[in-house]
Amino acid sequence: MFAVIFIPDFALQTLLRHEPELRARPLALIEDGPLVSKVRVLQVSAAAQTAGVLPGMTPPQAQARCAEVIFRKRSPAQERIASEILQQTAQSVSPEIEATGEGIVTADLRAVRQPDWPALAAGLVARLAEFHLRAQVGVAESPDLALLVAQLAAPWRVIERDLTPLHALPAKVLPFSAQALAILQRWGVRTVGEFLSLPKDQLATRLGTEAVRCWELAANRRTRLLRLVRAEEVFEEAMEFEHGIETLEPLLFVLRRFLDQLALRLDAAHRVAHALHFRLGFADGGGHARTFAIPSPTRDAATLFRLLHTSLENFTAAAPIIALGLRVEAGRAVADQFELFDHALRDPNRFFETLGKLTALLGEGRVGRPVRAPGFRPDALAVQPISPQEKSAAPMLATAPRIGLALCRYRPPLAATVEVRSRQPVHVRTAEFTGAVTDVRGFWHSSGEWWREDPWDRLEWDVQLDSGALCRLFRERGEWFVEGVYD
Amino acid sequence: MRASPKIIELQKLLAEKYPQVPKAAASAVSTGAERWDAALRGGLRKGAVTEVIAAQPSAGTALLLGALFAESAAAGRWVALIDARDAFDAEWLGEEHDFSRFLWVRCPDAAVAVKAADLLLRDGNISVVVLDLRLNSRAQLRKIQPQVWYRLQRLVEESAAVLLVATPFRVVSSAKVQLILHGRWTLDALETPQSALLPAAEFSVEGLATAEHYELKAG
Repeated sequence: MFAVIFIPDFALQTLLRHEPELRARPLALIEDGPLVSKVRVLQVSAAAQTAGVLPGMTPPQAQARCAEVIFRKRSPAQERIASEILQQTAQSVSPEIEATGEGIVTADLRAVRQPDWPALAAGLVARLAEFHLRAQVGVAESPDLALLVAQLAAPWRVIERDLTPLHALPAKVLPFSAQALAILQRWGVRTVGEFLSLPKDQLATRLGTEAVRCWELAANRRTRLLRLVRAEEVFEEAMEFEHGIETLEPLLFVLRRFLDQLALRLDAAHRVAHALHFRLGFADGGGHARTFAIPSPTRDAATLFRLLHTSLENFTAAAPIIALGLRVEAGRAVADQFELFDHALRDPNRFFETLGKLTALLGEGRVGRPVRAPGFRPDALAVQPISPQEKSAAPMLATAPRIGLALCRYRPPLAATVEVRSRQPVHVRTAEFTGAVTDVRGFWHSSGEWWREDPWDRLEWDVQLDSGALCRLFRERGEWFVEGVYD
Repeated sequence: MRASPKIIELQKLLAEKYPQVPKAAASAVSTGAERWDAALRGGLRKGAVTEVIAAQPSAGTALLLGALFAESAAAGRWVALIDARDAFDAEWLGEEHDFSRFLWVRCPDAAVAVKAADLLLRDGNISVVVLDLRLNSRAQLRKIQPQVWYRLQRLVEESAAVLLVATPFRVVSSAKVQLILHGRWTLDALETPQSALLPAAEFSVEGLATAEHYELKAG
């Protein structure tokens, strides 16, 4: 048996996937061409058809029939994505599939054991409905017959060995040319059954190969080999906007729809998202691309959305957004085995989302782990962002002994007025505190990086003030500063 | 001061409407120093806010923080230091200190630091959160509303984390335990290993929730 999944008005349906609110409105899909006069309506929604808009009309003709008709251009990107969805769905029931045509996929089901064809066909229709695609599924003994059945199905139909249900159908369901159909009408042949009762060789003599092809199709005498394809594991959604987006909310709205769809596809393929590749196109021709690594690979749409939301909160663009794309780098779920005493993060995704929020609150370079910059310059500390990819190292069991109290640094150092006697500070005054020096150590001279534009050369003292505070003072280029307070 | 009958009535109504689920006895996280742990009856309590008050400048808060950071690094426990005045000097912990599970959050002021603490406690991934307000001005600290501390206390309870707030005076109205440092150190302390300084540290512990009160003197 073979199953054919057929998406009627494929190009139109792919366009409506992310804009379901347009389904009830008169919509006409047009093919853009180099000449305005060549633009024609390709497909129309049910509302447009009811209003009298038909494929083949020019846009002015369509507007004359229905003033409210909405014109949309074909979107090759969305058609490609919908084709991938269609093939991935077909591959969920059979590894042997054929991309038969635009919005048509054939699956070879001969290897299916103990089949329940109605359940299988209904399952395919339901699955595609989750992706906002209205599919028709036909199951029959040959690929071409299955396609014919799919085109007649509402929304699915199974024709097994008994072909009598086909006989009652009008003859025009067979792929006749208009001329051949007119001849059959004159002969009084109205149904498929009446057509099949005609002798095949006589039909060949009078109507040619076309009639023979239709006869073999209706009689289930025609079979062929499938041109097999393998559905690529590409999980992508893309959309081009008619009007540029200028605020975050509509962008997030579309992103959430994308992620819901991608999560369904990942679920069907038993995959999880390891990274999200996000790209934007701007009205001024520019673009923005970014990759979000997922700390703990998942296919949970809400988690993935939170990650994107947090990262996009501070995003600004110079021009309105006219295109959006989101591709998932999928892989198998990773099972982590933690050490016995390892205190791993409970929810890595949430942790990195929180880091994103902290970065949004504080700015870049303010959240991470401290690292020492190369060289000996005082306070040459930097912040290294924590990366989702890094693997936690085994904890060190011993650390070096710590000496004394820690210096709480003023960044930048506090400018001070220091009274000096016998080359030693005796009184310190700053904007934050003042006090007499009761004890002093130093000075210590340090310098470095003389080859740079900003070398450092300073004298340092450790002092105790009458308040009990232990401070570090330094003098550089004739100016005094308090570097910090020991505590 | 006795609460008015109206307040008592309101408390009863709230208790009936939102009954509290009895919580299991909270365990503690070791500070890394036996002396501190003994005074705190096992360490810093999970699900509670502990305030470390430096009663005078240079009271020796580093003795507690250094021990806590080293203990957490050795235990592979995540620690977040919310540095409310960007004052942390990581070099003091030594080149060999393991920062792989250490998160340094550099804040411009106390108000932002409190927001960062809120985010980290809501996250629930980090078991020890240190909010360092020692160098922030009194004006900044007094601007923090008491309800902010109660909100943080609620978040700590939910996440069962340790929240340690280092302050120059009593600030945290919701602190369950207050550790008051009375140490007066001289310049000699800057060249002395912490292992030698610890026995000389003077501090007292006040457990407001349990009315515990310990006085530990040096020596």
